[in-house]
Amino acid sequence: MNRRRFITTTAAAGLGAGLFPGAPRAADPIKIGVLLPFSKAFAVLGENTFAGFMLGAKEAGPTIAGRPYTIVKEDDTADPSVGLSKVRKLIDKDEVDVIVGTVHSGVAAAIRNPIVDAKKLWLNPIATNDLLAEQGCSRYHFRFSNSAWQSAAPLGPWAKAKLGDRAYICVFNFAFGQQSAAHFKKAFTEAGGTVVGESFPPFNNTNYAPYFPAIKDAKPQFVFANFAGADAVAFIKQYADFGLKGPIKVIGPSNLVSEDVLSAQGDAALGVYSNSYYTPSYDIPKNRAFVKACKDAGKEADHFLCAGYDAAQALFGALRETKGDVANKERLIQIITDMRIDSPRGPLRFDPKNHNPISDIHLRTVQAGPLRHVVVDVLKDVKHPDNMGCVL
Amino acid sequence: MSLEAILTQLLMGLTVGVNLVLVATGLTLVFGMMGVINFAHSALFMLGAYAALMVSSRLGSFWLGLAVAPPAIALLGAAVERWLLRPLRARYPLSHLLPLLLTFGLSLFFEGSAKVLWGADIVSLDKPALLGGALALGRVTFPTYWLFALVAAAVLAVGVWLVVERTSLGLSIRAATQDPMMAAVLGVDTQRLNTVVFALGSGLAAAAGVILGAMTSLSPQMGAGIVLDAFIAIVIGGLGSFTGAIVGSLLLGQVQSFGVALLPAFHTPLVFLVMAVVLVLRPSGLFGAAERR
Repeated sequence: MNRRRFITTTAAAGLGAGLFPGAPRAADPIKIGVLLPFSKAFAVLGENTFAGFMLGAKEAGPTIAGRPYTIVKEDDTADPSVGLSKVRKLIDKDEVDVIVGTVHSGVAAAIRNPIVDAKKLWLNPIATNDLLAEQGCSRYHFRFSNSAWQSAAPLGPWAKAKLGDRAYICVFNFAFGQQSAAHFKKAFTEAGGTVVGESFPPFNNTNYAPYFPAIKDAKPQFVFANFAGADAVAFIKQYADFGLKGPIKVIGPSNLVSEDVLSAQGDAALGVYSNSYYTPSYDIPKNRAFVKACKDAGKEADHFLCAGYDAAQALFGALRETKGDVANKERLIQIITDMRIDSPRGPLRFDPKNHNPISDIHLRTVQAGPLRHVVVDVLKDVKHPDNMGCVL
Repeated sequence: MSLEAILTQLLMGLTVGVNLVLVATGLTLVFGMMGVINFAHSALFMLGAYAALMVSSRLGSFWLGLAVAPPAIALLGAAVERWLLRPLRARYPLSHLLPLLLTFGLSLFFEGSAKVLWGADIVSLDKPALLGGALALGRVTFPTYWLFALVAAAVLAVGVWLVVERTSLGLSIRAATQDPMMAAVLGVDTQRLNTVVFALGSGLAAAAGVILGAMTSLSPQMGAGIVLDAFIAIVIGGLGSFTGAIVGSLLLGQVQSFGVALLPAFHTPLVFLVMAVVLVLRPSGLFGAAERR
């Protein structure tokens, strides 16, 4: 922008604001800042989340109550320091009205304070960090996936009832793995189960064989495992290669066998149990339409697309109700808090006490021909404990 | 720990160790002859796996992939040495930094290209059906493919050892890794030898990429972890020493395997502890020359 253009636009904006204080002007687009990992290890996850968001935007149309919107994309590379500088850019330079992001829990923690301090509406499609439903919660933040607690604790009583009393825990050694292990262990032992052993392979490990003899010796009935990406592929493949899969079942959060790794795991993943708020094969009309819409957009439906799509449904639904007014944050927050979202996963709403999502959790097992998740059980309306120090 | 568990742990460590030898050989020989840490080594490992995937998915044979990928990547390595590294080193003979930057840039270029060509998705190189299942070796049951990985890498490693230790080419290589200048004065064509060694190292890394790729998965960043291990192995063994690379790799394989079993809470730092102890006792590594250039 050259200097003359800057002066004229600023002057026009000042004049407009003077004539119609506070009123949204039809020509003035709503600015939506999207902060996701579009490169490095989480690139696929960021791309899919964004594709889901764009499906929702497409359904909403190019204008909301006659007011257009623009989307400003930024790549946080799944790195907290990069995410922090990018979110500052979105807030200070682009002056976005809403922020949609992100995937990595560490990045979510890093961008929390700038967003909350600037009082921007924050729709978090994926990042599972428990703190955002506990001491770190905020009235401006809404999550569309689940918390780490929701992805692990409900497995405890279910596994005790369906898989057996003796569990072995094997999870990768960083915040997400340890948090999920602690949640699972607590819920499983409270249900009467016994954890017979634990191991914590490092992040980015590709050789799990040395851990297997100890698992065998502990004689568990199943293993609670939490790995993602290439780690999950190596673990599941080698677990089958070393013959543990038959006698000792495996259960874990969705990422252990999610769509981004399932085809690489192949037959080794057969029979692995996992939980997720979303399953592509879940047979309800809304999901059939969603799976088809994903396919038409050249994507395979997965929980990243679903959460991105739901974030768009919530945002554009709320904006429709305010007739495109984004200035009144409190009104938008109230509308989303009260919203009943018709999600491909089934009904989705928010806990008014911490803005964490409340939806069903599917327990699934991997079946062949073609390789897919089949829902074996549905846990109704799973919610994050609301007594963990959250004050909105 | 039962006898079976000990034997299983030993075999696991050996499988990883011999494959580490394949990766470490190229790193250490290239360093010995050219004084260059080859940062592109992890990319060559990755490209080997993807080359095998392309061949095996088109022609439906893992074996063809395993046969084609290493020579193809060896040619790529030869080209890199001949047309990039050699002119750079000829123009700036005193710079250690520029070759380092070149190989680092190449690693970014290769990884980026892999992402463009094959996507960032995690994909699988399927092992042949013949090598599925597990074999009973006495009381130890071991996956057939892991046994194959152990034997295949061991055959390659022994082959390279025979070439390096028992042929006149190997004699020249050993001479040039110890003192390139003196070897050149005595009539060894070190330029041609550099190309041969770079190609050999690249091909071996690619072979390990294929063998280990089928055990894990393929992605553009897949080489990072194993090359870090190989680097630790050659630091333990002594930078530039071929024997050191073999001993360091086999030792590291066992330290990792038994570290997990015996010191579960401490096995990640254990590897670095071993390296530190070796370096305190022998600053140039187990088989490193006491002082280099």
